[in-house]
Amino acid sequence: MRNLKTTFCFTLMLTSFAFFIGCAYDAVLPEQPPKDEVSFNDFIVPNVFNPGCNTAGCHSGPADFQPDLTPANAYSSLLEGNYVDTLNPESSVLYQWMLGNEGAAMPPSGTDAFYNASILKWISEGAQDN
Amino acid sequence: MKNQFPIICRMLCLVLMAFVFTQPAYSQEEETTEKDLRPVKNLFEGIWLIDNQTAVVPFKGTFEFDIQHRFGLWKNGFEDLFGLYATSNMRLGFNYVPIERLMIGFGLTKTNITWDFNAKYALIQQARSGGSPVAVTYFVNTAIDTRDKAVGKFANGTDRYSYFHQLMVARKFSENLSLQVAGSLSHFNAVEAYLTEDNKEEGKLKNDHIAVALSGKYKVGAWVNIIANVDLPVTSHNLESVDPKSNISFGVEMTSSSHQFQIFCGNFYNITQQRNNVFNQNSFGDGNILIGFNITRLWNF
Repeated sequence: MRNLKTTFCFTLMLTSFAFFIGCAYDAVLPEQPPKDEVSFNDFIVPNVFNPGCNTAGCHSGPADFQPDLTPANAYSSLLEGNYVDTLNPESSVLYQWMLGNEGAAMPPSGTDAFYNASILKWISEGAQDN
Repeated sequence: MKNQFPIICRMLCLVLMAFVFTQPAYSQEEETTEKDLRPVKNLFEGIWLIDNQTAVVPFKGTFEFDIQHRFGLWKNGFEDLFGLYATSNMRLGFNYVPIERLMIGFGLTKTNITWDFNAKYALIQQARSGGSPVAVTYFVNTAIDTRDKAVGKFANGTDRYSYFHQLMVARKFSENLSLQVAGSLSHFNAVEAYLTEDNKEEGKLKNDHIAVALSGKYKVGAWVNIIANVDLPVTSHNLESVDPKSNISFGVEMTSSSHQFQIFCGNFYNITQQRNNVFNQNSFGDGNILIGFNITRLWNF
């Protein structure tokens, strides 16, 4: 009987612990890219590549992981390496890596809906060097 | 996703039939031998079986250190040496059994710098003879995404939290074979939303996700086991494109009295159970397979 009581108490305790600490039901709309045409140099590089990709030891130069996403080399590296597909933007290798379909989702700190939407919009608009 | 229901039902039926039809032999044995209500030895060799918890709770006073590692995807071939040199994921975990049947622990996983705090309680233990034919264990965890607010873009503090509950039913059928079936509920406080055609915000995923896991171990040598694990999602989400994929994993386990080493192939990369069950987009059909290993070290105090 004592064993049954102990079991019951622990089950109740664990269930309570898990259910009642900060349980919520939110759906959060991620930050969206601008409605106007997305500029590669003025928007993608400073808002996606600089904070998320070209930090030291990642896509920070020719000797690092490819593509090189430093401001000076990002565009040529992406185009020459066939990382973008303007005919079928969602199939672009760059976008597929960001979704996690080519390996661990990029960036490694966690997939970012804002980065993904921005890149997809830029590719859909022709992946211009603007 | 919906066409997976018959598969899940069939697999569940097979497992349940196995549990039921082995019972008569067990009962006959019971008539001729004395009851031994002590828990069976080595239901599984440790608390982990690839990506799932097992129904095992170690002895009171056991302290355990876990290293769990998942390499990158196999499919890029020699470019990243079949994922061995690709970006990988890792968890360091610590567990302790303060009182009989209850284990508590915590760990840190690289993905999203996720801390998890967990507890496991053995509700029913399989007896050696004459008692319960199965072990029933409950596992729960709370995980916290501790990335910087600017990186994680959390609207509220509670958006960092997720939870995982699992009820496991396991049975050691013979000295060699142990099987386990488990049902789980994963809950994420916040999911990513999208705008529907009528411009309403709706979560791509539901906040709650139910899944079923089947796990097994077959002993092939004194200290060597073949292990396998299947995780099947049950919940269908709001956008079919984000519905999680099922996981199939199998490997080899080598054990000693205080160590456990498992090396395996599978689809799950995230290690944290709720992230695996809800966000997995790797599937065997697409060749999205990865290699992983678990190492555990036990100390008794």
